[in-house]
Amino acid sequence: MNHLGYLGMPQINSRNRQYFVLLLWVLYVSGFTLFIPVTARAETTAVGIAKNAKGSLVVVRVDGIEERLRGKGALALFEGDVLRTDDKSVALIELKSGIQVGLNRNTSFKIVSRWEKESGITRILRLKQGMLWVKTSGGPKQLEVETPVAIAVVRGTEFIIEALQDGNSVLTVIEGLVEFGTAFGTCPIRTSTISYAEQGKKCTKPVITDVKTAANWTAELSGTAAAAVPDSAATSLPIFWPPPDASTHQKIPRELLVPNNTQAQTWASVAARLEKALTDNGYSSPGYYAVPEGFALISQLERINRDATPSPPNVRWKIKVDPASIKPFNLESYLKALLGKDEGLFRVIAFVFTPVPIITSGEKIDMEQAKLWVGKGGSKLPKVLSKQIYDEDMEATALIYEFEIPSRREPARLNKPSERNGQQHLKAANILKALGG
Amino acid sequence: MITRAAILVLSLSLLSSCAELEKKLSGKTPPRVFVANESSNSVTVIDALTFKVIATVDPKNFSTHDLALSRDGTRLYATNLASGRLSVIDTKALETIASIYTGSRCHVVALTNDNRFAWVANIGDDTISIVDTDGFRIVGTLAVGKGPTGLTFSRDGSFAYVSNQGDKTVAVVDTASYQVIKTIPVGSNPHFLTLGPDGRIWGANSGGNDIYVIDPATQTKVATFEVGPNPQQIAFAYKGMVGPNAYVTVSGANHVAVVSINNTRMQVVERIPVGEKPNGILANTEGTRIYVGNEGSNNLHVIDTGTNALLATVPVGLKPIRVVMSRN
Repeated sequence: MNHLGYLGMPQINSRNRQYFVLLLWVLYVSGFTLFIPVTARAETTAVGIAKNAKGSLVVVRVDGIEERLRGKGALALFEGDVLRTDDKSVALIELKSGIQVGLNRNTSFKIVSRWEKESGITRILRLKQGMLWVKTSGGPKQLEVETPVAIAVVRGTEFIIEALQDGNSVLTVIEGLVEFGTAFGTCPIRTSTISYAEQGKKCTKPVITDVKTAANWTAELSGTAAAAVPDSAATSLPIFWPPPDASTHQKIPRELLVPNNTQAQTWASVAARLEKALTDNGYSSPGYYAVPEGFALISQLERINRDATPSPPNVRWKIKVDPASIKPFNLESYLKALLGKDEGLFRVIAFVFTPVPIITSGEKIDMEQAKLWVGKGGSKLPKVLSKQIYDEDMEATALIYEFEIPSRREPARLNKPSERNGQQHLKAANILKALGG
Repeated sequence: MITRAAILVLSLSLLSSCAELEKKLSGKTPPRVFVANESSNSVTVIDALTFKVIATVDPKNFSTHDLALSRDGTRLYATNLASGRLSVIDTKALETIASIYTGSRCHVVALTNDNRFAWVANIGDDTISIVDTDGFRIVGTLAVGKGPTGLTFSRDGSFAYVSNQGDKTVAVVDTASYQVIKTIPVGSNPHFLTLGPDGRIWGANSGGNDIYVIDPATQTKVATFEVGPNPQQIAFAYKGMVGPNAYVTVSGANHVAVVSINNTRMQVVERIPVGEKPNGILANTEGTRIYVGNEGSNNLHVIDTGTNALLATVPVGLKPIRVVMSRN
């Protein structure tokens, strides 16, 4: 039983006092922990480590103290740290959740964050100048890279971002998807494409680029995953962009390509579905090409009837070449071609899958060139592209190139427009039916 | 005696019910006043009609300095000097829902006219961070001058005005290109900036004793006027038929200077004594009341502008700096 003491406070015996002091201490510590502001917590927790530096990596702490990493190590990194390399140094750090970040020469960035009640902490790398290589794995991460003019929101990917001296920025996506935004809009940038952001403007439309060259410098971080930049899709697939003028075109409904809309479909699964529809109707393997944020698949040149149905199999694929196209000149081949030159209607279909609006180049394609499209294209999608998710914004468009050789004495010409519309062509070729349409 | 008391209680409860009923029928929430308390790291929420403190919100950061309220009143943005972070407060739930690092010593915040972006001035970095109010991401960073401390937008939103205390200038930023198109010398330690009811930009030179006016049509300083030592912030209100007048907190003299803003003849028409070191000031939308935050007295004065009568003194947190109000 406690007795009232001085000023009416209960008296506590010595044994109980120990518990009382312990209780007060627990309350004090828990109260301090619970009510300490978000930033204070963030600045005392390591957010990653600096693992390797060729040359020297300088880490400037929030109190101005500088620490350096030379060679391999495990220097803890905290919120508010500024990391920088000089003109002779590159470095590799690893953030929590297995995010790897490489710093090229003359690079400086600050580690900051955003906290949201609903989604917790998003790690932000504020790039002041230079170039960062970022690779994430295991799904989407709460990571963003800010530059003076733009922000790159990471969606499980590998990319390189550069802040130029004037603050303008360049994003190169090696694999995956990055939302690249300025105050004037956001562009989704996908595998093997590059986009630019300038002050006061929306980021540019992505264009295909050789990402392997862009990532060459990461090879200097030998012995790390940074060196393992994959072969780019751009170097393994030829580019079909912008497409030449077509005779007609037709959008292919999404449900024909992604029948089970509840499951995420990859580019590979969509390509496989279309390739099957083609082979079921007598076509040989198509040629694969790269287009911005997507891919294209091109059928071989075939002879067709006036109603756009394929000619009988015995003549459908027997197409003689234009003698003028035989290079280097060979008299025997030339005479054979001259005698055997066909007349009639011919067709090539280019299936283009991209969220980017298609604006044809205005160039009129030659039938002999179109005939070579299949052979010049890739035989399948490269690994990095095949894993891409066929997002909601992807659109499939069939560009139909219809050629006509009116007589043996006349050259082939592109019919523009075709007498049949795109849908009639796809129906006549039985492709829509094979897709379930 | 008992009967009288019962009648009184009944009448009061009826009045209270009527007030509640009126509130429900009108579908409106009474306007609220929000006060940033720099040394308490908090925001005090006050009923603007009853002057009662409704809540104190924790911005989850240090040194809460400036405030900006979205047009619909649902989001309150608060800068936190020591943390360099912008807090986003849900005004219905009265809780902080986001905290964004913008830059060293982030000082003031202003919302673009369409409320799509919050511009935050970071004194320590000499930059403006442009925060997307949808995803709370920083979508741009502008270098505008040395020590940016004040921010406001032109009436049409085409230009942002940023006062730079280190340069003693106001930078005019084209909001379409994000380029500084002009730098206007203004005076000693320029600080607060606001858009006046006349469409002009009004600023206070807190290191001196004057306020100034910039005309967006010519992007030039068209007026400067002495009001007293260390003028801080400006609001616009009416005194009966007269006005709008500029009400300027004069921190060094513990009063609010009432300035006639007539184009040809600016003059101090009266001085209203307030608490110690008045700083934040706002006027209600009707222009009949001013709310003054006294950073030395740690309270808010509510003053009727028609009579200059002190309607209420509301204790708030330590060092109240900025006062904003939701629309009713």
